[in-house]
Amino acid sequence: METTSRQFKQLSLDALANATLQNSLDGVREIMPRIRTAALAERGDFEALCDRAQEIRDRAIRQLDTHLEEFERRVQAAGGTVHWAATGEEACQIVVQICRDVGASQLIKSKSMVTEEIELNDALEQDGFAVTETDLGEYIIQLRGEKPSHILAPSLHVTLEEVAETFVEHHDIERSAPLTDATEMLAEARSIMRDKFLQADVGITGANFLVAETGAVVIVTNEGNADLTASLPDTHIVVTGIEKAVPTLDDVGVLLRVLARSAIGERLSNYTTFVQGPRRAGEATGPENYHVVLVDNGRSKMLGTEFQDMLRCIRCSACLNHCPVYTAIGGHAYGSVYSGPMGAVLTPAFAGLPAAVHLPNASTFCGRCEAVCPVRIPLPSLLRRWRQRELNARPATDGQRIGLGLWRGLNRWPPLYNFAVRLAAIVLRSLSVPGRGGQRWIRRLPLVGAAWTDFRDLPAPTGHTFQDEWRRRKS
Amino acid sequence: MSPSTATRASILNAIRRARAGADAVPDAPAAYQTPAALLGGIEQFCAYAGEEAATSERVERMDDVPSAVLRYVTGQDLAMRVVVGADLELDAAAWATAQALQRVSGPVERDGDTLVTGCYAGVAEAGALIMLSSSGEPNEAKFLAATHIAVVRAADIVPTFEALWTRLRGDFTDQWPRTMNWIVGPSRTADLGVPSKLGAHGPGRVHIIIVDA
Amino acid sequence: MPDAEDSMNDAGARPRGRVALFVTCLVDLYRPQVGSAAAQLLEGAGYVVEVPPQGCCGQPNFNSGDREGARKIAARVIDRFAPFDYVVAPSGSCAAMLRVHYPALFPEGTDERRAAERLAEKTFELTSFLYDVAGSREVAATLDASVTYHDGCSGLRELGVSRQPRELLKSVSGIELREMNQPDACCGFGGLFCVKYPQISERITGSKVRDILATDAEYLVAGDLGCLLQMAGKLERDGHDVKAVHVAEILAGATEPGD
Repeated sequence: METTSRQFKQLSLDALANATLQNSLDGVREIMPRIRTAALAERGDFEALCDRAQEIRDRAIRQLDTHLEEFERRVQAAGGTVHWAATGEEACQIVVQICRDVGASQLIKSKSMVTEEIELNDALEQDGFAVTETDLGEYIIQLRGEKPSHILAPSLHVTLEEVAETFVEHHDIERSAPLTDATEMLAEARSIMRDKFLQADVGITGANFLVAETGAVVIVTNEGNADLTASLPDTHIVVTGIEKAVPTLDDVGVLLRVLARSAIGERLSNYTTFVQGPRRAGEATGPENYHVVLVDNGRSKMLGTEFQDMLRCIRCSACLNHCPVYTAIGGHAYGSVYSGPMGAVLTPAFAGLPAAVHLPNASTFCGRCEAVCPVRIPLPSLLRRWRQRELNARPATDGQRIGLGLWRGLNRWPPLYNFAVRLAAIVLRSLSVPGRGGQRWIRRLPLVGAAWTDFRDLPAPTGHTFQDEWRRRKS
Repeated sequence: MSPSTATRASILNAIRRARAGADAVPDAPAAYQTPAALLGGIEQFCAYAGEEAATSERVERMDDVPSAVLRYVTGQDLAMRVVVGADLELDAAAWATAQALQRVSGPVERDGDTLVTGCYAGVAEAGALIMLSSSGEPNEAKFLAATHIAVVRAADIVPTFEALWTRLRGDFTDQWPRTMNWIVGPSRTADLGVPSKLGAHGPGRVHIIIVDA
Repeated sequence: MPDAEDSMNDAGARPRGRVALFVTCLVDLYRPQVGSAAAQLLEGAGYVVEVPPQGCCGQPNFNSGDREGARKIAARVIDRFAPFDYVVAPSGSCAAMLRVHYPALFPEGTDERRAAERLAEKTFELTSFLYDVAGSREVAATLDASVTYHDGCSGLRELGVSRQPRELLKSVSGIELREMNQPDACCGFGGLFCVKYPQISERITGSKVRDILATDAEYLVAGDLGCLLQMAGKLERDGHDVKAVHVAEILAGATEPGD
């Protein structure tokens, strides 16, 4: 997977300096936790549902082969074709070939993280196909040539004024007045999109779940765009990660209960669609051709490793919405289609740790992500595992390794430790000046200490250690 | 072996290898039981659908539906032209009570059309309408229409998803309907700001007529 | 056994157990008053308090991914603290390190693992120990002031510390406890995070400071010194008069400003 995560530090500084982005993120930070809490209050069994959701997803990924085979059998029995792609490139080639085979020229797409991950639109456009995103947020960023900044709200970083500018620039419409009203913009987008829906030869969707019991692909939206994408064109292609399979409809019911509540504080999204296959004999409409592309791209490699639990993810984005780091810098800073805590675990797995090393490190381990994850992924522990891998890969002369070794050594001998702490207390105290509240403060520290004092003051220590004081008192 | 077959084998093998030596996978537990206090019926269905901007009303018999449709269309100041889905079990005589309506049998063409359909079921726990594709019915109609009037029998409103699965499994064993759509209220988007705007690509209005008999 | 509802024990009554105070690096280095206050509260609840020679809990190593180093530090801590009935720390994150993370550092089925599990079982964060184990429901302190309480992340999410400090604070005579918006939002400290990604850290703390100031409380209270240093430093740099104190200091009636 291609990423720009190496530039995390600069990207995050850019994000912090972006006032309109910060405004949107303030909204996420304040509102999303509140609406989730309100939604949960209605269901006294929400924790029990999450326990069950965890069990379902855990069992599903541990028997993924069985479920994928059963799913495949049923899709084939319904007249569809199932393709297997080991890598993103293979998946793109398969989709491109299908489009060539049906002589397509106009393609429409509904939102799918995995298609962003494998950069499908680029591959299609390089082969001469015109692709239009139908999810409004994705459509907006497609026009602007930008990447998504949030799993559910890809255009979170775009203001209404910017949307208007973008529409005016790209929509060939005679205007008598400036475009300012959101309702007008929606009507305009709906009308433009309506033409695309009706003219498209191929519709590409993702999948939220694959149901082995019936061979159904489950697609969840609020706009209804996936449904039109899946039903109007002659060819419907589903692109999905392999880990989305679950055994039964009962499993899907539980997962749907926790998905929308965790994501946007709703009982259910406006549209939940189960698709079995192509048009049947006797049906008036529906796609003639139905393809499901199962994408591995690093997922099976995670099975049997300490990162297996990450495959439970149902892409609800609750972890993003509750993360102090994500809500400070937004999705683009991560340099990856997967951002926030889930992205910090997944990106190193898909793109390799060296490219993504900042992501697991830029975390306070506050644990809110794990607390709100409906399938109970131990995200901080998984981030810690990445840190462990990264640390072990550094040479023994690395500064942090040396520092940690010193600290370990100090802790072996209490007298040595006490001496060091006593010394630090005295030195820090000596650097302090009087300040508010009758306290003393350190305004500036040299070297590594500047990373603290460039941004905040440091209270001064009392000047002697507790252990010294205790010993004096007891003697 | 074609490339795709080889890939299939390698992916499945990778999954199996990863499982080797791991703990045995436990059996699936029994179906989830929603606590009794959360179970609801038609009132819950209407309340929850209403929170998602769907309106609803109850009529006694199927024959009352056409006049209810006329009432709604007039009340909302919509065109008299309504597209009636083939799955709606109403004969021509019943429509006599709503002669002002200009009934057509589809397809939904103009984005401004009002579509009237039947429903397979409703699920109270989410205020969701459950619709199945059928041989007579263009599936996309219910997403192309500007207004969707959905007719559902009271007896077909079930409390939970589990109750829905039981019904579906009873009705379909081998071949499931090609599509099943769960619909909660009008389509919406928050991509142009909050509060959400209705009528993103699907209908901007949803009205539910619940038939008691 | 003395009545569990008593918050103060008569001098000379039979002690309820031996508590080893795990003082924590930051308290040791920074604010010995917090350690004294903790000892005072524990003695007041009827326990004998001892302070074995000690160092760090190993969090910096553990969170940096130096699992091996954390294990070695943990082994020492387990040895030193094994002989006591309870281990109490005036810090959610350090208590969580011992209680939640120590056992898994050692291979299953080994003696060290069992020793770690025994230590984990008897380790508590201070307010949780007072409220849940000692059964304290009130303290004798007085503070005529408004305070707002910040939930340290480890204490809250790893140990369930939330109600206990609030109930004990409310029992302080004269105090007014005001809840800030999202008291459980991270303060931005995160150990090494605050110096590795200081700009992001500062932004997170900025949101926190906004919420603190909106309560107009005179005191910011928390159970972790790391959080307090972070928030106090930002409050001071931005020119605000809110005083940041550790919950132990308030409960023990030891909140003189200035040092």
